[in-house]
Amino acid sequence: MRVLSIGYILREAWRGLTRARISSFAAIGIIAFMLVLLGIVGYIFNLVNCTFAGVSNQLEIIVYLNDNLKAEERKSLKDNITSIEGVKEVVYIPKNEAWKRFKETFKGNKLVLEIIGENPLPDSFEIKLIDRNYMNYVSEALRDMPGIKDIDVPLDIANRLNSLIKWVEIGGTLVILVFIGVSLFIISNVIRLSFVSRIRELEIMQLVGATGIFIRGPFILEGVLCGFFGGIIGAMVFNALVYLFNRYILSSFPLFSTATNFNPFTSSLGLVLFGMMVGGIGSAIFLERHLKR
Amino acid sequence: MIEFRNVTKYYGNGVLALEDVSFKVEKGEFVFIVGPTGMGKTTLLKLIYREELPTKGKVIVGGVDITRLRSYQVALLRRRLGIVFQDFKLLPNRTVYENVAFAMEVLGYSKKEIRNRVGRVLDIVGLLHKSNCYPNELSGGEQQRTSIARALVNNPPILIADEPTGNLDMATSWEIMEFLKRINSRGTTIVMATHNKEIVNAMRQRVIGLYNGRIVRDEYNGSYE
Repeated sequence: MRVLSIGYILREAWRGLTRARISSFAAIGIIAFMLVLLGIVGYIFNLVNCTFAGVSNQLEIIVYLNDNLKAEERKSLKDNITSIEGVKEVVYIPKNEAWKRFKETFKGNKLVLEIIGENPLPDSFEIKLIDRNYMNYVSEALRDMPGIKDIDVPLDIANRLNSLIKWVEIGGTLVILVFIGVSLFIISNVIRLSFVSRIRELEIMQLVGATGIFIRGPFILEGVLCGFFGGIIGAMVFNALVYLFNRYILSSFPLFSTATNFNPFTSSLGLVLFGMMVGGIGSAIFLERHLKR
Repeated sequence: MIEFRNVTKYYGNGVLALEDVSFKVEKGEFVFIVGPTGMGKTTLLKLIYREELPTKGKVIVGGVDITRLRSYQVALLRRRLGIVFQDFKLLPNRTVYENVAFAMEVLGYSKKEIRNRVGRVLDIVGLLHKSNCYPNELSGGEQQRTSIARALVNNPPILIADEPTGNLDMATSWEIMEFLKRINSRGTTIVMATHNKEIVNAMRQRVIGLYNGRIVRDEYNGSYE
């Protein structure tokens, strides 16, 4: 009976899908379209988020060293700094190097260079962090270390970026939630509409005394299959679009292309699973409305 | 086999469909429910296959008070009933064979068993040679015979027929009645709603007359009026 009913459900679902070809194709097409849109919204969100995160993670703390620091003192200070939690890399910038960079920066501005004259810059360390959230912690830890003249923490920029990222995250999550809601609504209705011609089938099933799984099984599975095929097509189109976008558009904006954690496999899997879930929900709504008692 | 005890049925909109209806149908009987349109015939049948619940009273089928059934028990009840409608209720995108087989598939029968029984029942209604036709390729009589085959395929002890000849011409109606008579003679209890005078008068079976939701007569060997 078990095996029989599984065979029956598979057979009926497939039959339903292939018999009403036009409405099945329409449903699958619309599901694919909605999933592509959903994927694009998610991708843009991811891109913006990663860009901000990338920029903020490039922020560095600069530590200016006392002028009379011996080489071994400098070495042990560097080791101490490196051992602070959250520090990724410590780079020593000798005063000559710093002066060279300064002059490079103000190359066009002779006046500034003339006024300053001699190299006033001290030796320094550039401290790169694992991520921006360590900014406060690391700057606190640096405060009491010997041999440090001054610390330059871009805390203000970091805080501003942090709050910006927070808003982008909230806004992006909201947009995605709304979009998930909209596609849920549209896809489940498309499934429901593609089933309308089959209300009579449902009626006859009930009249001959079919029970639960025999009525629901094929319809739910058919909805899930619609979602599955829509998901496969949607994922393919979406990935093709992402590929083209990365290749022809994103590559001309180096700021953006730095770091996206976009993964074609997981996002495709997500789209397919979402399609299947919503397809099933659409079928369930249809059954809920048209099954008596 | 079927018993109505003081059944009253109001619909949600306050329309009175049946009022204090009581009768008993014994096993193997052939009963006509007659009366003008809108007098409660269809409601009475719907109460038997539990499409509707009575507002008051009891409906007993096969010794069970079906007003108290849970939904899965309703399914079990319906497996013991064959139901035939005026509009046939065939699935347009399935062949004659598939339409009849459908009633067995949804109950989980094996393919082999389905093949055997559908073949036999299509033979009884004389449609074996049209097994692969779709409903729109059939005449009205053939469509109704298909729906009778579907109603009979699970060997129900009771057959409910709601105006089964309502969409058919007289000759075809007689053909259908011949089938029903033959099925009845093999022991199946039949309750049939109709307003076809000639059929009722010629069959000389039990006749229950409804008027404004009440039973106005109940005669054995009865006629339409």
